[in-house]
Amino acid sequence: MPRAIQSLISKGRVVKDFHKRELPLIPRPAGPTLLAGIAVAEMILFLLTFNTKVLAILLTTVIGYIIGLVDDKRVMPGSFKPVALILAAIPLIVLGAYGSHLNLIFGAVFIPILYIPLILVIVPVVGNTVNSIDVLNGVASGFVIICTIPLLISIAIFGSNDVFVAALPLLFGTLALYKFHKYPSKIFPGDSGTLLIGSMYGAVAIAGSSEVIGVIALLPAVMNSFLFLASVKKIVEHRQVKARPTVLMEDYKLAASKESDAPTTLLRLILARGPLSEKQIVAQVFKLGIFSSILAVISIIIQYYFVTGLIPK
Amino acid sequence: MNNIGLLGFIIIMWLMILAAAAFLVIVVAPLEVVFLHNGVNRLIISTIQALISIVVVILLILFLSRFKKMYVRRNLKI
Repeated sequence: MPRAIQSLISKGRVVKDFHKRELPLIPRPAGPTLLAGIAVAEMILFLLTFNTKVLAILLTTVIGYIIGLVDDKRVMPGSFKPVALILAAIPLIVLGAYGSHLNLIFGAVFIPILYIPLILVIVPVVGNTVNSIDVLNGVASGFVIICTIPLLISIAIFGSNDVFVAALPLLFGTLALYKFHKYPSKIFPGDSGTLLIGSMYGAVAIAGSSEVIGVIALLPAVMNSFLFLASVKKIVEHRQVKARPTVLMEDYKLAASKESDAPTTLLRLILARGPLSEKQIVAQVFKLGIFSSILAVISIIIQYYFVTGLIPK
Repeated sequence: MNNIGLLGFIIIMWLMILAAAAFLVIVVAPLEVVFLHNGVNRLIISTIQALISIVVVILLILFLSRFKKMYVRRNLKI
């Protein structure tokens, strides 16, 4: 990562960090470096196991990354990412990286046909959800680290060993990214980084039979996307929205916007009680992530008893 | 944690997911057995189940939207 940072700086691929007094120039994107690490790990795993689920996870991740990279290089319309991410779901379907049963906490339901459109929804939704939470230094990477822990537990119980190992690069990749992305950021993941992470999260959740658990762990980010969509009422890029959900104050703290037409986001609700510094907001988001991860672990316990049949139905 | 309201919002979302999951497992999934017993085509049964599931998800989103409006109005005072 330090080499990538130097390389991006020397190429002038930097953006201003507007939440700092000095407006530092931060290199972007970290996506290519993150992909390199994850792809090597997944390819080695595939060569060792020849498990098509591993290949499907890798391909979904790569397509998510490419879509993000396109968005990093040129400003695309708001509908581009959700629509293009449907492509990222295709390897999971073509390579059959899904089961015929969907684990629904209180049991598993047999939905062999309905599962396919579900996959086409899950990958774009999760990809965009992770992308939309990338608002402040370290939030996206740190939040995904927290949410990946219950997902890994769920895959270990309800999925397969190969998928569990295939999901580990997501955790270790985001841990490596977080080291440089945390406050104060030395690199930004960019859309290529966040869509890569989001697509991979969705892919391992599907291949590891842990879709609902994965969504529960991501609830604060899901809530952020839901609030934004419900207030803006259409799919648009954050930068296309004129009224900002937060305002930067003179002391460089952030405050919730009082404008009625400003979009409602998780950040705006966190700031509803008063202005906070960037570091304090990040801590609040992480606390929400830890809370939803605890709910995900409780859900795993409930599902374990119902799906494994230890409790007579 | 000074965001008790947000934690409450997350708990409500979680409980709604659990309620929808329970409904699908307890009510919608067993429809297959009932209909198959009466000789209904499997494709028709799956379509009915899929439609009910979609309606449940839409209801979930509508309820969340209502709840969100109340929550935002109270917290952001707009």
